[in-house]
Amino acid sequence: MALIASTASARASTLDIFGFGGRSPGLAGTGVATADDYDATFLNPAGLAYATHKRATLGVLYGSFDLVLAGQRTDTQPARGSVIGGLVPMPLGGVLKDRVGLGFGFYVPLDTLNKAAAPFPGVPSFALLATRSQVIAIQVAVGVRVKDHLSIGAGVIALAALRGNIDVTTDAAGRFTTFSEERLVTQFAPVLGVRYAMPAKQLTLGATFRAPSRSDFDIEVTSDLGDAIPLSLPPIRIAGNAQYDPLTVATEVAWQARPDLLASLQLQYQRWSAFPLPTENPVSGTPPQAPPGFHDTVVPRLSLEYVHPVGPSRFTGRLGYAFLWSPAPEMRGRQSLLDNHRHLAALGLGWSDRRTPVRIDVWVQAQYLQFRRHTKDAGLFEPDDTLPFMTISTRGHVLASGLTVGVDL
Amino acid sequence: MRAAIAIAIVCAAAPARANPADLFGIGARGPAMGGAQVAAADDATANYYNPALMARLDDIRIELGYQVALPALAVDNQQLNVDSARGMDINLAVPGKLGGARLAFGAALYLPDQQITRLRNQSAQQPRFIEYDNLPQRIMLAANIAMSVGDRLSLGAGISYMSSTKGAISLRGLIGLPQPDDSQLALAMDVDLKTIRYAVLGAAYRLKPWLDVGVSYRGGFKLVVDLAFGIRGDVGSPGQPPVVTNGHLDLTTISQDLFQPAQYTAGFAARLTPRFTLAFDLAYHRWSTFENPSAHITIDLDVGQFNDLVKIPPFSALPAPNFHDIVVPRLGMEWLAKQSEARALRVRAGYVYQPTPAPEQVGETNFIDDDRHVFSLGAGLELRHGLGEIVPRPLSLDAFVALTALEPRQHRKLSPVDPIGDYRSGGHIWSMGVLSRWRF
Repeated sequence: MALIASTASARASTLDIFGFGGRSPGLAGTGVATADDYDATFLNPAGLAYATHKRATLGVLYGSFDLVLAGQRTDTQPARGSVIGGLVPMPLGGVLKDRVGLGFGFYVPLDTLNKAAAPFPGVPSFALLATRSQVIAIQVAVGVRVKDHLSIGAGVIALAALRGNIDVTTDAAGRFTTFSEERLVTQFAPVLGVRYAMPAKQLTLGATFRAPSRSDFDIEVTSDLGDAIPLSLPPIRIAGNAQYDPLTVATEVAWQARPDLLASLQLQYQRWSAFPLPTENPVSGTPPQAPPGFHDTVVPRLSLEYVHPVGPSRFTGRLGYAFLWSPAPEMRGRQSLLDNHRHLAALGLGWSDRRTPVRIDVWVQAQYLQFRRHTKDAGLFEPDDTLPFMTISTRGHVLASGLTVGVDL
Repeated sequence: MRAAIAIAIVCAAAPARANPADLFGIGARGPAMGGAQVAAADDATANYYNPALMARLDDIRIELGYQVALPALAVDNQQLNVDSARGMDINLAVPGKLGGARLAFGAALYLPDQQITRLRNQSAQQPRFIEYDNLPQRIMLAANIAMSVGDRLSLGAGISYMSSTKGAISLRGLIGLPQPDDSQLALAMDVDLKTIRYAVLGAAYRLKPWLDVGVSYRGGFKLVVDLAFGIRGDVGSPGQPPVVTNGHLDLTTISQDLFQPAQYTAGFAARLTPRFTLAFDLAYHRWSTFENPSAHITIDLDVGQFNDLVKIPPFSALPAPNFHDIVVPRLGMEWLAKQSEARALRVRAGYVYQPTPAPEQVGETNFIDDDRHVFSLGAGLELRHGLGEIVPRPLSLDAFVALTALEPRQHRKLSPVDPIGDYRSGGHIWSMGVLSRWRF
């Protein structure tokens, strides 16, 4: 019987699974052509150029994972975190008057800032969903309106990588002790965006490029314990990848069909073929691992947003759908990095009122994992190898919701 | 399996203390005035010194700067090669109004050049300057909000995030014997960086038109590393019958990683004349909660026929560091030396006396720290018309230089056979920085 990992490799981020902000997750992740709040730091920094108010936003997110592997539910931690956003239209003069906006957006998990989890190579696990929601996201961006209908933007997403070395020995009192140095270094991923409005046709076009965002670890361990233990080990390398979001290019067209109705269509390309191994071999004598074998994906997203004024109040209804094409192939060889196609349905509501500077957005998402079966090919293994499983199936669903409150200053 | 022990201590004890802003300040005006800013901060560095002061700002502040600290710290006149600290300051404050109240949000970031955080762990016996070894080598990030309550009172609060480490690392496979390089091991892990939050609170009150008072609280924290480590497998050579089958080593380690003492500060800023401001802070740092950062390690080992050769040293408790609380006075002054319609030049000076929280190192530990005197000078040039049409608001360029002098201190060991022996510690640190302050 297969060994089933209770936790799996940490990959990608909460933002990649659910989207970011109070509006976009209710639109199934669209917003590349229309976001103009702090969420534009992730969706498209060019949208920051349209900022009109200084705004601070706080919010919460909760997501539960019901993932079934070989008929058993996995012990996957829920995603629980807070959203912090800020939007600042820059009061510059001259040619830059009313043309520059700054934004920042943080997602901070409630319990865990980062998680490095990976089962032994070959042990089946949900490679992209199990722990990928447990990572902090820090984003800063600026948008500039270069012409009346054209804006560009740039920003960065920051993650941390761990580098270091450790030497273990005994001290003068005979205790085990260490001489070590570990350094957290920043890994920046640039985000670039452009937005173009065609008022005559009621269309807005947007495109975003996000470089791969990853959090790696690499610790070299050596030891010299004299006579304390009668065995020696070679230098051991604890190395791998804790979080990974692939290179992403998203293009979107938004159509203002009526003054109160906005329709958006997005196509998102993700370069999952560069997906790294969760862990590297700790010693040089271990046979090389098989590559993950992931492929690139294109994800379509659709949404509708309807605005309904009631007196001084403005109610906004949102709905969306996305087909999240799995980048993982059937796991017929040594690796067992499992993933499913997902259907994402989203609903959202927004409220604002001319009499108050407060705006509230809520959203819910349901992601349904399409049933999938993996069958190992014995021909891809050595004759004396033990197959981790012969056939295994995966299915499940993910439910998430969020609430944000923004205040104009 | 010796390396197994090492792996378990991947993130183990690291004598990093407090944060870099506590040592050298942030910005340029604050360090030039000896850090006496709990009532005197007038820019986005209020994020660090007292967030309540952000509610008094009228315009958006964005500040960019750079600072360097060059230590020359010695034991028995031998330099300990304590690393220099270099990093960038980025501060933001965005004021506004909500109803009738003034409201502001902001953030301050000190980002070291080489890394976000460096954790250097050494044996408790290894002599090192406990506050300077790792302390300046980590990020400082503060995010805050502030609001006014009436015309005179403002309140501020913020939260900062750090992380503790908890989890397990597993190896399984073959451990090479007699050649360790023949080992064939696979790795699994489940390690979390657990969220740790600490609060920053502040209040400021305008007692007189010329006199401000302020108080602040910065929460303390201890970051703990709690790791379990295990190896399961055989011992022998590949392709040969194993010498030991199903051996194992299970190890746990718990240690204190980073420590910041809780800090309570009260102070005033008095504009004694239109050109002269005097600031004074008194800070209480709760160092008595500092614990020995070295790792507590427990081991369970089964290597079959080799068990008789295992000589795991018995656990002995780590000696307590016995640090004590301290009170730190800070004095700063600022003088408007020259002004015209277009420019203003201000000069600043400050002094700090910081008693050490560490006792004389008479026992097994060598957590060195000395009483310190900090003398600082600085200047700021304000361009009142900014940079013309695009940035019409005032722009300031500020600089500071400070000398931290450590009083020489003798450490006399109680044991005549102490492996380190008696020694004398001392030295000095030059720190300097520049900051550009932009208003929008």
